[in-house]
Formats: sequence, C-alpha cells, structure tokens
Amino acid sequence: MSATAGPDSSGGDASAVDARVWAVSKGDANADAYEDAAHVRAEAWPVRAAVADGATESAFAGAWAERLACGVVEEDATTPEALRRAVPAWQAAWRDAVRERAAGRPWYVEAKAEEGAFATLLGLSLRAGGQWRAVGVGDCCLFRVRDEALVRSWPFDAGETFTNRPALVPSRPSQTPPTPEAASGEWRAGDTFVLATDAVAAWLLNSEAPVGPATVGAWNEEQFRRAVEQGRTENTLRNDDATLLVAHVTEPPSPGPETAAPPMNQS
Amino acid sequence: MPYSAEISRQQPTAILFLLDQSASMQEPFGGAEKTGDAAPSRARVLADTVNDLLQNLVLRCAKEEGVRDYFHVGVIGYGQRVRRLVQPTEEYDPGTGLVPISHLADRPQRMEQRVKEVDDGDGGTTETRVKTPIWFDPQAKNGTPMCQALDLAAQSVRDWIDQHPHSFPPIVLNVTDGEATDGDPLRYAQELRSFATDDGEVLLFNIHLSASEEAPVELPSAADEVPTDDEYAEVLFQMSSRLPFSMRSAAEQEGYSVTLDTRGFVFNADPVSLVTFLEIGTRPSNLR
Repeated sequence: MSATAGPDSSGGDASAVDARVWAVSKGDANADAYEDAAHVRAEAWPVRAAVADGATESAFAGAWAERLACGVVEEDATTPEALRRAVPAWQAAWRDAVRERAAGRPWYVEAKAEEGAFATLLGLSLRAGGQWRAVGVGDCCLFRVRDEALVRSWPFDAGETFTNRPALVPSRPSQTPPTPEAASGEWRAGDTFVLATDAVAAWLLNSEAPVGPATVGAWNEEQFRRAVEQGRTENTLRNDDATLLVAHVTEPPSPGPETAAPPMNQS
Repeated sequence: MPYSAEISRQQPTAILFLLDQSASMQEPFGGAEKTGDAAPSRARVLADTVNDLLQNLVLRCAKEEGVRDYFHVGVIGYGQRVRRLVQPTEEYDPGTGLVPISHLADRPQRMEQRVKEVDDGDGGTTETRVKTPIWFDPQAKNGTPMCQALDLAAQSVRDWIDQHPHSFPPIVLNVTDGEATDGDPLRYAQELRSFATDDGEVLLFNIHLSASEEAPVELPSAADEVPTDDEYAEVLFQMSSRLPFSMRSAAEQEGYSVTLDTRGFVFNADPVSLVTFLEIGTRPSNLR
C-alpha cells in the first residue's frame, strides 16, 4: 500500500520549488494505518516542509505525527523557540480528537489514549532570500544535495547512528519534550532538499545499499515504491513506514524582503 | 545473530510466567515485618505484579484499532497443583497453552476500579478511578512442584516453536520463593532451554523472592556473585539463561552494569527488583 500526503503535498505551479512526497507503509499482511506524516507548502515563500514519524508502541500515533507535520508547515514553526511555543496547542487538539475517538472503546484503547502518543519530527523552511533553516526532534533526517552530490546530512551522517530510542515529541503536556535541534544554511538554484523518516534515512546512508540521498531526487513515485520493496527484500531497508519528501529549488534566491519576492500567491 | 528476530504479528514471540503458589508464599517479603502486620503476602505482591505486567504487555500491543498479537502469553501456577492460570477460549485454542495477547486483553477474569494518580493536564496530578484488568488471584498452598511446572512449560514452548520456527524464541520467567520439592530443577531447566527457534534457544529467567533481609543479588555475571553458602542460589544461577543483547540494553538503561555473561537471575528479590527485572525480561526487542 502506498500513501501520500494530503492535498497540499504537490508543489504549486507558481513556485520556485518543486516538491514531491512519496510514502509506503510498513509491509504487513494486516496493513494498518500509516503512522508517518508529511506536509509541504511550496506555492509561496517561505516554503515549508515537514515529516514526522509516530512511535509504533503508542496509539493514535499517526494522528499525532499528522498534527505535528501539519502544524510545522501551517505555522512555520521551524525554530526551536517557535516549535516550543506551538506544541501546547497541538497537544490540546490531539487530546480532544482522541478522547472522542476512544470513548466507549475497550479498556486498553481508553488507557492508550490516556498514555498519549509520541513522534519524531523534522521541519524545514526555505526563505526567498536564499536562507534555509531546519528544526528536528529525533531521527528523521535532512539531506541537502547539490550537483548530484550530498553536501549536508543532518542530524545524522551515518546509518549506524540510528538507535531504537530516538528523542520523541510527546502528546501529553505533562511529559517534558526534548530540546529541539536546529540547523541552517544557504541554498541556491538547483539544490535539492530531501526529508526522510528514520527507516528511509538509515537506508539512504547505508553504504551497502545501492541507493543514496543524491540519487533519490531523480526518482518518480513508482521508482521509490520499487526501491523500497527491493530494499526490504534485501534487508538493507528496515520494515517500517517509509516516507520521503523531496524539494527541488529551480530558481535562484530573490534579493530584498521576502514579501516582495516572487512567487507571491501567499495563502 | 541470535535473538535478533523482528517481532511482528506474522512472527510473534511467546512469554510464559511460572509462578510459585506454595504455602510459603503466604508470608510477606523478608524485612516486611518492620512495616507492620499490614504487609501483603508474597503471593499477593506477585499476583498484583504479574497482573500489572500483563496489563502493560497488552498496552504495548494496543493500537486504536485493537490489540496486535505481537505476544502469545501463558501463566502456569505451581503449588497445590500445577495448572494454567490463563486459558484460551474454546473457539481459539492453539493447543500450546499460550494465548494470543488480544484474547487475553478481551478476557480478563474481571475489571476492578482502582485509584490511580494521573496528570491533571496542568502540570500537576489528580486521583482518578481507572478500570484495571485482573486475570488471576493470589494462591498459596502446599509444596513447590517446580520440576512439574518446568516440564509443562517445556511442552508448551516445544509445541509453540513447531508453529513459530522463525520467531524470537519463547521467554520463560520463573518466580519462586523456595526450593523445588519434586526433584532436581536444573535437569528440567536444561531440557526446557534446549528447545530453539532459528533465532535462538528458549530463554529461562529466574527470580527468587526474598525471605530474608539480605540485599538482592541482581543480574549476576558469575556464580561467585551469588551467596556461596546457598546451594540453591547456585542451582538457580545455573538454570538461568544469559541475557540477549536487547535485554542487556534494557538492563543498562535501568542502571545495571552487564557483561556478555550476565544471567537473567535475581536472588533475594524485593518487590522493586521483581518489577524491574520482569520489565527487563519482557523486552525482547522492538515491535514492528
């Protein structure tokens, strides 16, 4: 089964950024809800993109990942401070939605709803003037590719770095969220930004896998799906939800204030 | 590498508890007399602990759509009789005495209302009544037929492995406060541990509950770490499997120092070390 992000996942035709989202849920005969999430808003500056990965052992984790990725994109919460300010409202929205869905269900569904959900998160923002910034909690990865070569891998740069216990954003306000990490830099025309949830990120960084961050920009959705199936068969890709968001910048930065820079169809 | 099989619904693992229900389990833990007459019996503490643990196992597998069968679970009590304390339903009996955890989740013996402290959503806590599942009650009668229990466990895991030859191997957790009264348990333990899936031999862990005020000996790596004047401690040490990688990690996260030779064994366990070790011993690896 493949799943794609919501209606805002495709790049707007007025944008200097061409963005695509591909997703394949974990391979399983009892196919369940996909628990990653990806959102992108590429039709206006600043362009924002986010991926999130709901933790398997929590329930309603897909809804939490969705709330986080969507929130980062809607509110441009791409600095640690902006993220810290935004999370409480997302937690309240998740709690209200889940309490309703869990009411009257068996004891374990109600208990899981009370336990809360957890997710990793990565957000990216590209400013019209040529700056980019990213914020992350956990092991989703950002790759920056230029001239078909990987120039930055963040926060990890080796497949071995991934553990089974990444930092996670909790849905319960009483649990202290980990401090988000931040990165920033300059972009130029032709750069490609790749956001990946952990299984795909570890796979792209695995030196034994026939894929890498620099090659995925040229893929289409079918090629991604086939590569995922092959990677799982060959055991170079862990059987987990696989999500990739690719944003390719097609035009050079615009000088001057962001609001004056084309394209201008702000939403 | 052994003990690395992914745990999924197609490839679940099994967790089997063996619980001492002999007469001596009516006594409180060692040192409990200091706390007065109200100290609960070891049987009560053990039943509460295992009921809580089963609840936590269910919750680890529960998603919004229901409970995923990552685990098949069994509980064998040994005292007046050797008997299974959780039973499969008639319509679903795999014949191993190990019940898919979704069936366990939907069929507790009863639900009790218990008072629990929960977050008030405002940075503090508040008391609330929560529904708590109870699968079995404490019992404490007669001797300690541990050999028979290990034998019944061996039958269960052998049949289960026939049905799941590629799974992470079954984990058997034996909790006792005394010596076997029906033979040499080491022989039965070796037989039990000789069964294996492609991923490794059956894991047998032992928790000896304290009748004394001595400090617990937790996760020893060598026989000389357990009391040398206690022959029985040596037997339980020999009966216990080494911890696989994932559980060594879990033990390290709980603050224990571990080696490749660390055994899944606690001698003179108090209630805290009982809970801690059962948590470590039921963490085979991440669920997929």
